Amino acid sequence: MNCFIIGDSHTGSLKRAWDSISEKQHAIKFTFFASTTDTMKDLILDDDRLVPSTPFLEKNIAITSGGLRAIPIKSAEAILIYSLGIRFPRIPVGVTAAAIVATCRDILRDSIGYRLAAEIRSISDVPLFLGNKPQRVDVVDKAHLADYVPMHILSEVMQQQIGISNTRLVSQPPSTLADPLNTEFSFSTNPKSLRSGSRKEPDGSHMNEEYGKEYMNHFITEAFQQC
Amino acid sequence: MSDDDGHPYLDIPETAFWSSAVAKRNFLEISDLWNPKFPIKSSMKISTFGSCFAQHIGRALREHGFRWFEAEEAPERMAADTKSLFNYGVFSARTGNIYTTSLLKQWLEWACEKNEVPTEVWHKDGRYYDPFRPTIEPDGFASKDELQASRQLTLKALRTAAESSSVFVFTLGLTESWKNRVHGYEYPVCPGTAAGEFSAEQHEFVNQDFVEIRKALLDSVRLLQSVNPKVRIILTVSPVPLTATMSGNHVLLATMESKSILRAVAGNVARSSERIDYFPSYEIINSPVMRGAFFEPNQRSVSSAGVRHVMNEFFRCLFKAYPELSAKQATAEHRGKNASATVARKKGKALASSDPTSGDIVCDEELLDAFSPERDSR
Repeated sequence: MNCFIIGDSHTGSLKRAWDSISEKQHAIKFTFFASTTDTMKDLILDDDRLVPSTPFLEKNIAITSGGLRAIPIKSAEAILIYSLGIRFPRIPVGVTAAAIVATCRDILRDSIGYRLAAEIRSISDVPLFLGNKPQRVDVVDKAHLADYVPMHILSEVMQQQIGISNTRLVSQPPSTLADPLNTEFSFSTNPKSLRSGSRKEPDGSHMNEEYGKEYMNHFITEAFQQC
Repeated sequence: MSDDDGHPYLDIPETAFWSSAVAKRNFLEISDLWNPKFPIKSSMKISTFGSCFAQHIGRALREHGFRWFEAEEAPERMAADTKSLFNYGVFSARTGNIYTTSLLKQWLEWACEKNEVPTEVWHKDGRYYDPFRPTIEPDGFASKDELQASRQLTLKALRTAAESSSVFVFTLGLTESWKNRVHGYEYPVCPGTAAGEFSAEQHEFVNQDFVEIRKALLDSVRLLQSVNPKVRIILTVSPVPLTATMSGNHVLLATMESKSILRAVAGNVARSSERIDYFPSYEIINSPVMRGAFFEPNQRSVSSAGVRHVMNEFFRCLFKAYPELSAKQATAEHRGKNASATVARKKGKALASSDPTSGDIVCDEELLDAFSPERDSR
């Protein structure tokens, strides 16, 4: 099974995790295509490939995929589009269902991930999966958790708003959550500086290899029931 | 000057004379129409409520770098046009239009728990409508519970706005109102128009007079001051004519009478306190010398040029009275621009993102580290 993962900086934790668990998953091969922040917006559909339109993106695609200069969609048997603007909003309890639905739809439709999914679907029937940007570890103060709509509700709403055939949202697994909204603090990363190699404080947003393992195992279970 | 040397008019400013202040000027150059009683700093929280013209004030304050207070924020990442559809960001809380001073009092009493919110709910085609803000949701509410939960959020936000605003702007819009005969509470629109059903037995038209309007406004001011003793208030009168009148008069007459009463109340109440001011948006749009130039062809809607002219006068007068605010405002805007530029520089040449989160700066390293050749060989 040849799976692609297309994502942004948050894909790093998945790649780290896959490096350490891949030996146990002989039946699956993951190819990563990742680039920082929103630079995946510069991917252009060209025939049956997603092609980087900037040298910067081309370089990142090559580095992360092991040398590929474009994303050969037809070679994939499943594709996970990870983060890339797909995230859950913080919504107070009391906001109407219609407003929640509209917000989730807005976030999806405005995301680079959704645009890529729609473009991929225009040329391929490959099963598509969308993965959310990890919830921060400090979305909501614990004392006010009951004041906000929990992630699993938002996940259900967003799933209903996808509207692209054979495309499913695979949200972060419950095992990564400390409560209905915040990611467990221990999954928050201590990134190393590239230049100095020194440790940095957790940013509360980017997750570590352990998180990546939880997500990858969850994704493999979810995805391969379908693929 | 002895009593024989002249008369008091010799010592009054040029703006006090029609000839020099109006007749000899192009109407677009008529200025100094407002002498603000107090400064409004860019750091101050400013709330805006009232008739529909009030929303222009909130928007202009935001655009000029002032701290317009959105006490009831839209869901995170809701798109701008969706916000507009759901009436977020229109007023400081989702009260909808508060046309009358008695409606303001009613909302404040509910928010400050001085009075209970009525249980009345309107129902049509399987959807529920809030009688006190019938168009706040584009398709009404799914249930009574949803309606009440949503209104609670609004009341909480209104309370927050009342308690923590440095400046509370209220635009008076109408004298004509609709009330529940039995319970005495007021609706913002006639039942049966935007939603609900009209019943002559239950609903009555009340064209409020000077005394009633002034009392409701003073009661509102007292309520505001009881939860926020330092609050300053700016009153304005909407220049927008009535859509329709139930007064029995021609709508033009009804409009003139209504606006005259509101203007008189606003002036009277503003004169009663150094903490209450009146800003003349009504006169800037509606004075005969403006020749109706700021209205759309329907002679009712204020054009965007009109709104801009009003708000330009607001800021011009404010900065003239308090020049230090102008300098600080310019510095604040400059600082804002510089901060954005610094973030962009830090992100480096390779980063094309417009998202200025520091997390994404760290994440570049995180991502590249995950794919670094050193890691693969580890």
